[in-house]
Amino acid sequence: MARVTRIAAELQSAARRPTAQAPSAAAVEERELVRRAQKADKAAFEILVQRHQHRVFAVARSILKRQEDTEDVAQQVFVKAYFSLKKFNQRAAFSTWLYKITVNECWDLLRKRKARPLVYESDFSEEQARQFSATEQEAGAGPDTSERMAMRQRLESMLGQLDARDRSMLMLKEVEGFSVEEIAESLGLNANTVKVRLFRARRKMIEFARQQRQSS
Amino acid sequence: MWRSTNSSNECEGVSDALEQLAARGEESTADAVLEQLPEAVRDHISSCVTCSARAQELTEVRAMFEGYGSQAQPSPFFLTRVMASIAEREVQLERSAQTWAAVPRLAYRLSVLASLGLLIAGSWVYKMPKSSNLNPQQYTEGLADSGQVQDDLLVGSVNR
Repeated sequence: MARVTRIAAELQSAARRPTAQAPSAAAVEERELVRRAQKADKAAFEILVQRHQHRVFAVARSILKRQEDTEDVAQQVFVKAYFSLKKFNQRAAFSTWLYKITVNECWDLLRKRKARPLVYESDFSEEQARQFSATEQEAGAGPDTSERMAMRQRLESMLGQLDARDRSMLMLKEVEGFSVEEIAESLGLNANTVKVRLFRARRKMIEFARQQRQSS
Repeated sequence: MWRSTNSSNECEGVSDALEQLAARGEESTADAVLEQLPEAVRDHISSCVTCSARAQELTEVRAMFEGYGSQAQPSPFFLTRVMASIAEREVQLERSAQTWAAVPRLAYRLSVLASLGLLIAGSWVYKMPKSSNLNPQQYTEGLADSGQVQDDLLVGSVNR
């Protein structure tokens, strides 16, 4: 049993620090880029945008419904970040600060739209369906396209029944590949809270899937 | 009690390990996640009801998301749009700053104009006729005597 604990601990530490040298060098480089961007060095800020845009998109997409909103919010996030950089004192990581701005902008947009946070509707419009099937055909999915679309819509329907925050966490974990610590940083929560909520969200998804199977 | 505390710590460790592995392998299938675990951990999962249920739930939910690719992709011109937005905002801020900077320059002229205006207005108000019943001769009287003149007028009219 003690061996299991030791192995589990080793797995955890290996997952957190895949390479000992790279993170610290990257962190130093990032701090330097932020310092330069704070002095209105736009080239440095462009590098920061290119490094973080995918993750910002991932966080925004996990909260918002539409791709168009995701892009608008992501743009606002970086513009806001540029003009607020001087207030950023680098006590936390730049990514943490950026993801918090992203989450706040997303919630602000949802409040402005007066969207109901507990309802998530699948937004598979006709255009998206056409794009999806075009992509699938390119990938050689062939006749299973409509079935995959149906599965996707069922999944999104189940996700829609989750609380907005739980849905966001599950999307970040299962789709975007965030770790528990990264999710906690992005959403401003404690890591244990994230674990508990993920656990509950998974149970709910399994229950929704069972209900769907029974109803069909 | 020590044994149950110890086993709950082990279960927590295994649970954390499962979550970490799921985060690392974005493309891995549900079964592949379990296969990455060392044999001792897999043995514990198979012997522990709690960990077995947790692993089952994790793999079942991961299976639901298989093929659900990330849609969070920025468009090719995203960076260009961000920098253009920043440049536009900088121009707006510059214009706003210039407007406010013009206020001190205009302030002196505005204050001189305002003072002249007040002086003219004040003189006009002061020289306005006080009543329509007054003898026109009173208009030629000095300003300092206006009150006294009124009294003398009344006395004069009585004496006549």
